[in-house]
Amino acid sequence: MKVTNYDQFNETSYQTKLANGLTVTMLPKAGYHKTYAIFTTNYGSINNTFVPAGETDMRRFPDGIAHFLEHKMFEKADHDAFQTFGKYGASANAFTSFTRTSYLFSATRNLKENLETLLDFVQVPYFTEKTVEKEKGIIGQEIEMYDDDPSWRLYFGMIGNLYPNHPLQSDIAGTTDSIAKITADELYAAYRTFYHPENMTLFIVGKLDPEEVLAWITANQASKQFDAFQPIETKIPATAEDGHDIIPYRSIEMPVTRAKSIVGVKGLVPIEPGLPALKYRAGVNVLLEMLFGDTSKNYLHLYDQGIIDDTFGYDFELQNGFDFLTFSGETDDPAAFDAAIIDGLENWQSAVLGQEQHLAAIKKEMIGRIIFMANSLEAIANRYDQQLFGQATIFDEPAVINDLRLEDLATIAEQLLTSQAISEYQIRPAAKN
Amino acid sequence: MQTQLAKGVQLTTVLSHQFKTNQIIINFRAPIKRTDITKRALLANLLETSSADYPDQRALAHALAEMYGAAFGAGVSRKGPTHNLQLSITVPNERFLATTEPLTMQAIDFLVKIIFKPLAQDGHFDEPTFKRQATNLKASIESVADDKQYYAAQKLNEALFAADVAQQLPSYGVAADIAAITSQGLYDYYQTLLVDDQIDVIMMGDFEEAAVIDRWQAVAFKNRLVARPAAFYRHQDTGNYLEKTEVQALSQAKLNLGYDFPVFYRDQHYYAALVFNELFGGSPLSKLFTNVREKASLAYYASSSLDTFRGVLKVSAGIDGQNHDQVLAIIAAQLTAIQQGEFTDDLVDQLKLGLINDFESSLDSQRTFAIQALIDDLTQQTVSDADWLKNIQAVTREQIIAVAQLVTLNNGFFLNGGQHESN
Repeated sequence: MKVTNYDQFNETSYQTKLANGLTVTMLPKAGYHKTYAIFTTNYGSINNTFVPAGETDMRRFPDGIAHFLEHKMFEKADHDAFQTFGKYGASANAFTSFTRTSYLFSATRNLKENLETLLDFVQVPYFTEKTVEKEKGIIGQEIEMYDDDPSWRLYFGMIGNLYPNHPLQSDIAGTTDSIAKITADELYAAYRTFYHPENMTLFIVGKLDPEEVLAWITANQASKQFDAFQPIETKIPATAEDGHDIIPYRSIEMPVTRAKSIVGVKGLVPIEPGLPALKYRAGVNVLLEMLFGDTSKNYLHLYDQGIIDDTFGYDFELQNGFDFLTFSGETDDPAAFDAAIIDGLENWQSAVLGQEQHLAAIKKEMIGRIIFMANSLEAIANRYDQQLFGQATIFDEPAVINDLRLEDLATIAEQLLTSQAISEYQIRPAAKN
Repeated sequence: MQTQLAKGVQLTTVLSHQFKTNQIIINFRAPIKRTDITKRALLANLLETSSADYPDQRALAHALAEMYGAAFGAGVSRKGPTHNLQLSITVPNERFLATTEPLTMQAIDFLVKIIFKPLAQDGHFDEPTFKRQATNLKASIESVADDKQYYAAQKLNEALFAADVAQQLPSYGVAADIAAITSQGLYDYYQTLLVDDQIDVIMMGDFEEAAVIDRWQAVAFKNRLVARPAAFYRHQDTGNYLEKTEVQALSQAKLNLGYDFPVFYRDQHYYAALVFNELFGGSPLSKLFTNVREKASLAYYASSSLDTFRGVLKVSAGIDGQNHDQVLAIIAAQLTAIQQGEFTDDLVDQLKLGLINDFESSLDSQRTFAIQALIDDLTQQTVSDADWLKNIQAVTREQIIAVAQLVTLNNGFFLNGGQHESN
């Protein structure tokens, strides 16, 4: 086991890779009552074209299959995994993102039983045509619920602008039409390809004894047989390096009270995983604070003019293989909103160059935010992403933030904030009958 | 530890090494009144964004950034017949930072400045700031209707509390009331609030308790001359079911149900009611989840929740509109099943374990201690963690059946998707 001490934060992490390829990370938290465990495969909604394990040719799978598989994992021949967790008093859940699927539980008691339940239900698939058909009704309702959610439509509208002809632009859950095609055989093919321990990580944080927990996991894994791991071949369509495939503007109508607008910026340069990705994320987040955070001149100016209000927010999404920025809010004048954001992005220099004091304040703020996250087991575990950041935990982040200089931010801005990478999407109130 | 700062003003300090931050909450509590709700919501927005020392949002945000990203916020909420205006600030513990600045004491000073030195002159709030926040509050209240789940819940509330207008309204106020509020009228109301409201100050974390108490005692709060507000509102059973329907252009319909359920926080039925709610619709093991969602594939969500400060139970479900009658019948059948004792002892044990898990897990959130301190002060009683666990363990199946007999369906709100194509 590799032991990493974070003396400044009075925390220690323990990491190891088991014989079957599974990476296990543990972070005990003194004084906590709960343990949170998250079991993740590097398989998300964008991985819908791949060579299934044991086959030789690329196959296209229906949109939404990773999410469908996530739902179906819980159901077994004679029970439901939720029931088993319930028996041991745990609260369980799962979620699917663009690049990952995660299964998790949190429990204050019966840690061994709950961990074994987590490992067993994810590692023993059971799909039949009958149960697959039934799930289509439930997921169909979930898709419809999101169809009515203007914020969700706004976000995916922007992704559709930035990534046309790319699996990112499909809803993570797919569509009622695409999921109608999913079969049990396809679920098994996806499962065998992506749920090998070598492609998975287990992160456990909270009340735990690392030696004891590792012994339980090792015994559980040693009792199971896995085929030799074959590197996974997936196909994700390339997008234009100069951004010419980006749709610059679209707008739709919905029954909303007020218009909503979103401005997006697509990262056109691939980001190297590991420490460079960690530095890049920290740099972009500091840059965004300098440009549009509540300590910025832009923010106050636009707020006082009524162009933005408390609904304004921005987000940086960095995942394996892509990154993009979004700025969104409700507004009475979407055109003015978009113009103001784009102006701030294209004229980033005045907010960055020479602004040493502002940078110093933002660094303090960002380091403080990491300390806040260190209170939350969920934040510590969910921020861990081996595929993207290697073995780094949140306690590696303050040093990275502290090292950022204005030159680093200028380099990022030069590369990221280019006019051809910018797009707009608006939802306007539908005319009332 | 409890320290009385003045009559009706209480400081609670909770020391713990568990968290890497220190949290300070100040809560102003008053009886909920139709005329005051919107004023209090607007006050929360004003206090959150301005003060005499930090006249604009940028100055305020900068001060927070310098305190290592201190998290500061103001908000409003309802508990039974009371309305709460609450400010909170959380700062990292200095021990984990390369700094010698006394961040926790700075945070207290910050909060005191925000409360006692608002951005005001000549008896009114600063006019441009007031106007901006009034405009923003109006827009944000109007936008709530875009969240259909929330909208349906609010419409149910209006029906369920038809007898009392203050109970119908959301804690964040009414858009139509904003136009009548002036910067002077609001300032006058704020002065009344500062002397009349019950105040709780709660500090949780790792700090020097004596120094903190000294600092708060120096604030010279005035004795409250008004009576403490009541802790409970008692909903009246109408004895019959009344459903309202509204049609909007939606893919998914919403069905919200309201029941009279005269069980109140920590009364003799309280712990049995908690287990009953888990059994009915409060957990993934519940009757509603397994029968409405899993077996019949009729809904994406179907759950129940308790309000033990008002004596009501609510169910909400997202469904296909054409299944309305079937869903209503299945929900009713689940309640009848519980009333007739159709559940296993094993399931009850699991539900109790789930409640215990939630309770013990909540102790890992810093905010839990403040929430509990506020409820204890409101209800003037306290229960130890050990007693809470004992009380849950002691609930019997007979008590669950008995408490289920108290549930009476009163109101329904059905938000149907008018343009939905059936298939």
